[in-house]
Amino acid sequence: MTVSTLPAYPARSARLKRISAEYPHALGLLLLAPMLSWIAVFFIFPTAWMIWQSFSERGLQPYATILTSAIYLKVLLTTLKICVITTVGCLILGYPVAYVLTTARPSTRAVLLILVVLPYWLDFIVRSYSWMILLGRHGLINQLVTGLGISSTSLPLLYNLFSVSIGMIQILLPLTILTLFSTMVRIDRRLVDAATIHGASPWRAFRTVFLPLSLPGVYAACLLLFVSALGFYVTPALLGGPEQTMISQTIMVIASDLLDWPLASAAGVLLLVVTTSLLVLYSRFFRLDRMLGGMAR
Amino acid sequence: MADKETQFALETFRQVLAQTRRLDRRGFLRRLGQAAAGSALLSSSFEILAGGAGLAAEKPVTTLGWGGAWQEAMETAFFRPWTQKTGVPVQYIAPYDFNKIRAMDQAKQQQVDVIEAGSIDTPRMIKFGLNAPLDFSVIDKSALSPGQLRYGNAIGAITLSTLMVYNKKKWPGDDHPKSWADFWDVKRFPGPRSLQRRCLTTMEAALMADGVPADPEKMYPLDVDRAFKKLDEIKPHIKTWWSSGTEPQQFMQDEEVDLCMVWNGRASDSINNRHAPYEIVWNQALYNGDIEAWFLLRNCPNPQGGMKLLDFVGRAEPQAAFARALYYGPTNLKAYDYIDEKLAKQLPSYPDNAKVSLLIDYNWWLDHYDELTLKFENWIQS
Repeated sequence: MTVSTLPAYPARSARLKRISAEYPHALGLLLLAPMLSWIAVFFIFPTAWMIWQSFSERGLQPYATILTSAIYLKVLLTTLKICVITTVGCLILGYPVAYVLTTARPSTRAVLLILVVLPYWLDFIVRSYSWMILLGRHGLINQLVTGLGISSTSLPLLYNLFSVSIGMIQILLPLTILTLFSTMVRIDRRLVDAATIHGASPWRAFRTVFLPLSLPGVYAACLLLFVSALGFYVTPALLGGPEQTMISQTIMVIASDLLDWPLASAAGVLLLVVTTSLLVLYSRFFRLDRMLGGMAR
Repeated sequence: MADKETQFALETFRQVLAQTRRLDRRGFLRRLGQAAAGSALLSSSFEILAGGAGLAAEKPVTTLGWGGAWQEAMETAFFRPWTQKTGVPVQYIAPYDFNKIRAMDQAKQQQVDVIEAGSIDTPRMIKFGLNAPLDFSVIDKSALSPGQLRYGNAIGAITLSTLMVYNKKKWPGDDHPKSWADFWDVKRFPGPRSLQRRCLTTMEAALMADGVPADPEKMYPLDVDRAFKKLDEIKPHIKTWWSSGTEPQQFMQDEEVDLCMVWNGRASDSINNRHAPYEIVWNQALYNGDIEAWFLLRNCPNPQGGMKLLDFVGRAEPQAAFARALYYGPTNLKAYDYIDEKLAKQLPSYPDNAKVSLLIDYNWWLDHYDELTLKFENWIQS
């Protein structure tokens, strides 16, 4: 699909011209080859091996175990729930920031961008531990709350859905802002001006012109966030309670504590199936190809 | 020749251990590092004088272990002194992952020579037959304690206890929690608590809280239903269930919970070196005994080097140095000759501590661990 949409570059020599006439996709394939081989070796092969591993030893039995035991379905649902919360939270917090970034002067924008990207360079574990310090029983927030007399006992801020969500949102926020920003910065501002000149209030101009034009960025961000959130391990392990167990934690327990690779592989395959089906559905609704193709068309 | 060098390394250790009796952990590690570096300089200059540059080119021995403070202590107590004397480098890979060892063995591509297997991985190692037979013409049995040779083809390593600590600020007097029954008694000792997210140890603690004595004869086979019924009682009062060893340290240092299950070495480290206001309860500690052992892996790349390293790691002096650094007790009882009373009392194998502990029956767990882990995970999430 991507190959056919690549523009045909003018060939320098007659020979190249002939080759490109005979094989119109040759250049595209050549450019894609390094990445395709990378994906084949480090993604397709291990995934195939994982799928094979899930069936080879005990047939369908690992799948039966997973589908019949309540715990895996519960973990899967918890995972999806946390992913949705994280995605929505990131969008609510990230959209205004990305908007401000597009309107800011270049010098201010540079400073803001650095502030956005800076936390992204910090390690996941470090950031998760910092949340423990902030949200703990004697943490900064609780000291403030009890010190100001807002509450006499410390609030339960840690080891629940709240702390997991806040930790994951913070980690994924830079990704959200950058994705949204890259779409918003390409929106022609004169369209918004045209709307206001014709009497639309700033809010109405935003709602009817800017917002719809920024939606492809929102859809792309949703996809990126959701898929990234699915694989989280450290943050829910450190900031969550048992009720916030995510699927990667469960797979980890099965693989490295119980040493049951067929079962772990089956859990991985099921996660892959669920994710892929969700993506297919999502692309049906939101035209995945278009939003990833950007604004060119 | 190797034997002479080992003797020389042990002599250095003895001197350092004697000189540093009163130092804290950091001071001790620093002094040990200096001594090792000094003797390295000495031995390498000897090498140059003798014209023997061949030692540096020796094939390394590869080992796999936990990172962080554990790696630091392993390297200072075992690997660096041994390398400095034998010239054989030790390559340390972290993090510890028993799965990796098994996968490499199955693929007939074992790349690790020596490991110190943690808790249940020792019986698993033997069950899967991943280890190689030991050559006791290289390893000097007379330097070891009988308990270290219980498996035949492994060398006893360290002792660890999973135990309870309480917040001394909250209970400064004599009326403080003293048993798992007290840990379960939320009326008499109110406050947030934390347990390990693992069936092994947590289920034994629950049964002791329910009145089963700290005696393996009476504890095993575990009464699973009774344990889960007792765990139901405490579940609402557990603020968080930890999975990695650094978490309870964080809880102690931030006073996140008032009662916490923790590994003894981590507890001592937080209390002694990081000013956590907690006190250890040795009564009813869950004791690993001499379960943990060093193994040489079958089909490993450097069996000769690994064998020589195994001759070193079980000895009293490096075990004493490791205990000093990380508070995990020696299995070589001669190590207590190099450990002062104050430190000895903080170690799981110290007789007074071992006496009141429950010795975990890993043979029972080997057959039940998988099934109960799933049951426990199911219980904890529902």
